[in-house]
Amino acid sequence: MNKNETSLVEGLRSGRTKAFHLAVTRYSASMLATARAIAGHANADDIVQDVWLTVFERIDSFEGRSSLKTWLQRIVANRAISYLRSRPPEVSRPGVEEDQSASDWFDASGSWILPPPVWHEDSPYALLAAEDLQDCIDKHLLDMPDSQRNVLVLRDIQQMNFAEICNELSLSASNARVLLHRGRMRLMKMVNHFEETGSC
Amino acid sequence: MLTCQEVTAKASLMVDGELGFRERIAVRIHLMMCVNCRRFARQFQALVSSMASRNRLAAETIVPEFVDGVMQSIYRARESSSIPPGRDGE
Repeated sequence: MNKNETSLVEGLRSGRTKAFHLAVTRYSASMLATARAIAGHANADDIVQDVWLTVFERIDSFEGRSSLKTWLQRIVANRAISYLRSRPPEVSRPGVEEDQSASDWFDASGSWILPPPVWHEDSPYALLAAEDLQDCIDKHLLDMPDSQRNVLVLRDIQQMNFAEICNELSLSASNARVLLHRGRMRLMKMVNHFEETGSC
Repeated sequence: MLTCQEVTAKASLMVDGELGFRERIAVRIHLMMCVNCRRFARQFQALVSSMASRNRLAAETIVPEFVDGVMQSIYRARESSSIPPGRDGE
């Protein structure tokens, strides 16, 4: 932890209102992004608000072995995943298990049947700036099987390492990598479709 | 020589920097010769990078009303807990 963060944690432990206001302002947006990606927009606010109450009550359990932000993100991810697991079956959205091997892109010799479509923009920030595309990615994230989405969110959005992800989700490293690649390929197919048709 | 299908199957290992030395060389040689796989690899990398940037972008756009709502919840929790008011000296 850097000096600023140490000071902030001391403020939280002392129950200072200013410290909580600063922490909520500083970290809520990324916490909401995680919660939205895992549990959907409709549930994210409640999950993050609930996490802040937990933090208020249990800040003493923060041992400082990771950054405060990482600790908060872990709590949010766990809470969002718990929420998904607690949903009744009729509400559950397990996602459609599709073949994400992209085998339909290749001929029997493993060569491209058709060249991959040329995207209008292929820089990360140009992709981010395309609001319709980002909305479409949100939709597809929620339609993914929970297992794929959880790994994808923790790895690609939260930038957690594989050891942390495997620990959080009780997965083997090889299983996590397979799920991550399937999730990414699912999004690649979605973006290809979006670029070709202009629709989600 | 890797096929295009094999290269795409290694795309995640590639962007995560987890290819072994021999695999990395094999992929690089293939990419030098295959325009389709170069395009795929560039777009795959852009997509993965954009996901990471989502979080950074979100961090700049917190809604003040959300902060106020959380703070109200904390005030209520403080009132109903054993933590005495004024603990923060404010």
